[in-house]
Amino acid sequence: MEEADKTLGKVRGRWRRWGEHALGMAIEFSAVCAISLAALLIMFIIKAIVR
Amino acid sequence: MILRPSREDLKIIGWAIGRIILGIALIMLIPLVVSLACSEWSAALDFLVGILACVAFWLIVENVCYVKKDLGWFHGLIVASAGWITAMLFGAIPHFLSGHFRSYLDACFDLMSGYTTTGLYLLQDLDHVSHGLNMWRHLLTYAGGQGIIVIALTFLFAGTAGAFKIYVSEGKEERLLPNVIRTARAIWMVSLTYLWVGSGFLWIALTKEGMPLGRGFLHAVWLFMGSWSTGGFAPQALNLLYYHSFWVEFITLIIFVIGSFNFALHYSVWMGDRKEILRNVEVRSFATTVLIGVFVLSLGFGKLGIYTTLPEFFRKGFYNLVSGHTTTGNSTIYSVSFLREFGWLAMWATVFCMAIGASACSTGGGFKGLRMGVIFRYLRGEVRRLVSPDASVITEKIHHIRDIWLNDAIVKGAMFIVISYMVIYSLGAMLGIIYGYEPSVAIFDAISAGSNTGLSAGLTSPLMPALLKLFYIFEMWAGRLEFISVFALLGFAGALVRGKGKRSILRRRR
Repeated sequence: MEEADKTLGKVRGRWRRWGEHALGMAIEFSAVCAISLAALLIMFIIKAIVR
Repeated sequence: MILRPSREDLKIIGWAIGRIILGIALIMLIPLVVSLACSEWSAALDFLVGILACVAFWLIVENVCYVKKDLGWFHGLIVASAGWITAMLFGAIPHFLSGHFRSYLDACFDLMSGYTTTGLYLLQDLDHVSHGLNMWRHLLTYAGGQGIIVIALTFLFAGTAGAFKIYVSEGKEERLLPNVIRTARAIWMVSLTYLWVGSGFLWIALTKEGMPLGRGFLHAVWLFMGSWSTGGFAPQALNLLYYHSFWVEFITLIIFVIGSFNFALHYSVWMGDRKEILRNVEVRSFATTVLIGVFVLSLGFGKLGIYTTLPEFFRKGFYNLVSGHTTTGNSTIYSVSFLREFGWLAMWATVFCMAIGASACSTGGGFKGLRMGVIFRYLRGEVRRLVSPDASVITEKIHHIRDIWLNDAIVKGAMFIVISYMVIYSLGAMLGIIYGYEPSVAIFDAISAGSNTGLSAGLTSPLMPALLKLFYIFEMWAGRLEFISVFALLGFAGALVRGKGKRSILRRRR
C-alpha cells in the first residue's frame, strides 16, 4: 500500500511539474504577444500622425 | 614574465577538445540516419567520412593527451575558443564533400555561421541540397544555440570540476542549478520541450498550407531549429518568403523571440516564478528597444508610404525588425529590399536592433539586453548623482533573477564587451568599404555577422573576397564567445611563441 502511495505521489508530482512548465510556456507566449500588440499600436499612432 | 605553457597544459586542452569533437561525431549520426532513411547514399557517405574523421581525432587525442588532472580557468578559456575552431574544421567535412561549396573556406564559413547561430551562408543551390545536409545545417545551428560546450557537458563530461570553467568560457555565465552539468541538462530540457511543441504547431501550419505530411514534418523541424536557435537558417533560398504563410511567420516569430530569452529566465518562469518575466531587466530592455525600433520603422515606412496596412507592416516590417533584434535572421523580404525598399530610416532601425541583439545566456548574439540595462541604469545613476546634493549616496540596481546592485566592476565588464562588439562591427564595415562595397551594405552585413544575426543586404555571397570571408568567420566566432576566450587564445598563442620557462599554468595557479 505504501509502495502504491509512493508511486502515485511520484506520478502526481511529475504531472504537477509539467503543468508548471506548460504554464511557464503560456506566460512566455503572452509576453511576446503583448510586445507585438504594443508595437502594432505604435505603428497605428505613427501612421495616424504621419497621415 | 610570460610563462610558456607546458606540454601538460597542451595535453589537458587537447583532451577536452577531443571530447567536443566526439560530440560533433555523435550529432552527425542524426543526419547520417536521415540520409540513409531517404536513400541519399552519396550524402550518407559524406557523413560517414565526417564521423570517421572526428572519431579518429578523438581516439588520437584521448590516447596521446590523457592526463590525470582537471582543467584550470585558463585551460577552460582555450578549450572553448579553440574547440569552436576545431569543431568548425571537422564539421565542414560533410559540407565540403556535398559539392555545394566553391571551397573548403566557404564550407567553414557556413559551419561557423551555423554553430554561432548567425545564418549567413555561402552554400550554392540551397533549394536542391539533400535532406541529410539540410538536417545537418539545422541541427548544428540548434546545437550551437545551446552551445557546443553545453552539449559536451551534458553527455561527455560527467563529474569533472573543470566543466564549469569551459561552460563559462563559452559566453554563458548563468548557473540555473548549483551543478553546472545539471545546468547544461536543464538548458536542454527547455530546448527539447519547445522543439516538440514548436515543431508540432509549424507542422500543422505547413500541412494546412498544402505541404505533404512528410515534407511538412521535415520543414517544420528545420524551421523550428533555425528559429529557436536564432540561427535563421531555412531549407529554401527564399527563407520564410518561400512559404507565403501568415501562420508560419507568426509561429516562427513567437519561437525566435522566446528562443532569444535568457535560459535562466525560462527556468525561473517554468519553475513557478511567474513575475520574473515582468521584472527581468532583459525583457524590459528588449521591449523598450523593440518599441523604439518600431517607432523609427513606422516613421520610415510612413514617409515612403509603404507597408501601411496592418498585415503588411506585421509581415514585412515588424517581422524583419524583430528577427534582426533577436539576431535570428529569418526574413520575409529579399536581401536587397533592406537597402532599396526599406529606405534609410527603416534600414537603420533594423541595424540598430541587430547591434543590440538578444539576451545573455541565450541562443542570440549582439550587445545583449542585460548589458544595455546595466549601461542605461549606470547613466541614469550618473544623472541622478549630478542633480543630487554632494553628500547623497546614489545606488542603482537591476533585476535579473535577483536584484543586482551595480558596481564599477559590473559596469566596466559590460562596457568592455560593448566596445569590443563596436570595434569588430567597425573593422568588418571598413574592410567591406575598402573592397568597394556600398558603405550602408558593408555596415549592414558586418553588424549582421558580428552580432550573429544573419540578415544580409546583399554583400555576403560565394563571390565575396576570401579575406572578407575570413574576417566574417572571426566576427561570428568572437561575437558568439563574447571576446574573453578569444583574447585568452591570442594570449596563449603569444605565450607559446614568446613565453619563457616551462612551468605549467595549472601548477602556477596552485
